[in-house]
Amino acid sequence: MFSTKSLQFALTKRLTVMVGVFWIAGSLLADFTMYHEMQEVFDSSLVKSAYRYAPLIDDYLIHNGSDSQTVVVKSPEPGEIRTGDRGEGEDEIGTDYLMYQVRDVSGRLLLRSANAEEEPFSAPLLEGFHTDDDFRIYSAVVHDGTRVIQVAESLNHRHEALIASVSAQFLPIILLIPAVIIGIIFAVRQGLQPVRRVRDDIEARSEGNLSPIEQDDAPDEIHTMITAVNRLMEKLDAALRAERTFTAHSAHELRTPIAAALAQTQRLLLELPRDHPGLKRAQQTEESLKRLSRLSEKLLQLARAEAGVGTSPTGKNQKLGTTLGLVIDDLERVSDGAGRIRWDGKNAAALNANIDVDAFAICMRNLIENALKHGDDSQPVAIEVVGSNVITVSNDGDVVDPKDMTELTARFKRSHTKARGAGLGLSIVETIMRNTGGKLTLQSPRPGKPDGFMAELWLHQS
Amino acid sequence: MRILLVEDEVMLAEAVRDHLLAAGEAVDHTESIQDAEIMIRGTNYDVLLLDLNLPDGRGIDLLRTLRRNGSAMPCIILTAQDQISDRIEGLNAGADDYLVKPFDLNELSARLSAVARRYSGNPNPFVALAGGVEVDLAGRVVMINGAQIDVTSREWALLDQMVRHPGQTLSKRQLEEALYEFGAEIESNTVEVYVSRLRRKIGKDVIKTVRGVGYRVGG
Repeated sequence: MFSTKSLQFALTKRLTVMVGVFWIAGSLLADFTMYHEMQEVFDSSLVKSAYRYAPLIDDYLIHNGSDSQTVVVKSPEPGEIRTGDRGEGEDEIGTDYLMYQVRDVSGRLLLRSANAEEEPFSAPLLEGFHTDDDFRIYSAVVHDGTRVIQVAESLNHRHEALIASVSAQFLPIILLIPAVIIGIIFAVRQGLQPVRRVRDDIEARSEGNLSPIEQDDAPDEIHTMITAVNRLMEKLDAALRAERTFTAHSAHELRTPIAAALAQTQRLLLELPRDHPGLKRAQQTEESLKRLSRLSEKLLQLARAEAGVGTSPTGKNQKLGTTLGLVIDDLERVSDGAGRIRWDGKNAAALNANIDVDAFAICMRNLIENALKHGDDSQPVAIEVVGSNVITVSNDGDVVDPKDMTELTARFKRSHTKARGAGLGLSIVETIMRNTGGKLTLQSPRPGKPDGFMAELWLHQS
Repeated sequence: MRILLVEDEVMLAEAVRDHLLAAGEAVDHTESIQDAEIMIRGTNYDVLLLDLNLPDGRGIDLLRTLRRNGSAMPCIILTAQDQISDRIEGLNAGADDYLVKPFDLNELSARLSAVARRYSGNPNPFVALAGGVEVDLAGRVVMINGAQIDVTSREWALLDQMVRHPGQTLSKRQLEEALYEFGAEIESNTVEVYVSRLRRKIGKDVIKTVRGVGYRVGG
């Protein structure tokens, strides 16, 4: 079923109503025309009957006439006129709908058919038609104006004929209406297929996907719209790309002087005598520079995540095993990670997703750093690839308060921890996951354990 | 080891050079790709420390050119780009390792030793020599029968160069390159002086003289 707010519903409803209204109007017009035509045919039948009866009535009255009594002419009995006839008996005779009366100019009834009433018709004794409550009557003045033949037909008969005709016309229409509605629904659905394809294409996109919408088979009505949207996305993509380039350049411009300052400070530390009063100050400077380096790295990662970095440049899944290996290798070399990372490389070859390798590396680096910083120093941090697109990073340690769990992905939130850090790592990961259509889930305690913490990265596959 | 440092950030380059010199390495420094190419053509370096963003081009292009020309010189990339794709590109271009700026100077020394060891064909940093002498290349320590002995930076540079090429006779010229940075004055008997000092400390049988050719350790 479709929503009552959908274009398909609106079009189907309007088309059905329009087709129904025009169909009924057309039928009514046809019925009106048919009614008049039927009246003409019936009237013509009355006229013809009157004049055909005239010579027969003359002849009949000459042989059977009476000056004082009205002669009643019976209708033929069934089978009576079958001699030499090729008719089908009763079916051929049917019901006698016409009746007649023959009157002289004074109004005296001379002759009537058996089905005619004894009372004279209400019609005046003048040539022409007359309609009363029950009959349609034609009066023909014959026999040199001395005799009037009035042929009548019951109005009920005419109504029955009309109702039978209209019913015969409307019954199939009523039966066809559901078929027409189904036909309209199907046609509208087919017609809206390109619109639905565009909708699905846009709906399936993640936030960071600004590639053009395909419009090869789009109808003219939405072609312009897609072109406009594509142009807008192109502009947005260019702006975000400029921002990403800026952050990449900023990383270079920031890191180089920090690297120089740190290297000079470390040289100073090595060159100063152990008892020099400036030694402590130099150590503090070194520590501050390292902290500045970490913070600038996180801020630049966040800026990159905010600029929409995320989806694979090809728009398709790409292998991520090597990248994960490099990130782990990197972190194993630093003091926090040395000997603490447990990673057997299982399923790494199968790991693939629609994500940029740099964005993926940022996510993994932050998750592992987070586990190394906040986990128990004496226990390993376990990294596992589950299936082909889920990675878990888990560590020992105290259970995180459920109230704090919801705030872990907030910026500059460090929960209740003494570990150093900017409080940006999980926020960066969550932003990148949002950009790429992936998901970050956090659990504490770890599944199946009474303590610890586990981050689960669900990568989006196209 | 004789190291070529290609880095345009002068303050950083000076600190790196001073650190490596203090550790007994010979370091030549240049700020451009063009100069680096000229220096590589004229000298056999043991390791290339290469910045990726240089004023006259990308360091990675220099590395690609070297590898295309058949150079097997070990190379460590120094990059200010924190993106993993840059590192992957560097490794694919033939780099042996990379360091992301800012880095710890001790980390740099460790990486240099690891790469040099890999190229010497012996990734084990502990090398046992004749007469109970043991050398820890990573820790820069020399021991005789478990007792540590002191060696100067220059003495270490000479011993390190020979230990990294066990059984191979190194010419006086090759040993001089390990001792001096570019432009430094070289006395004609400097190598002999340091070999003599080392022999006094670690014993006469460890370093062998190959007459008319040079010196050899092991083999």
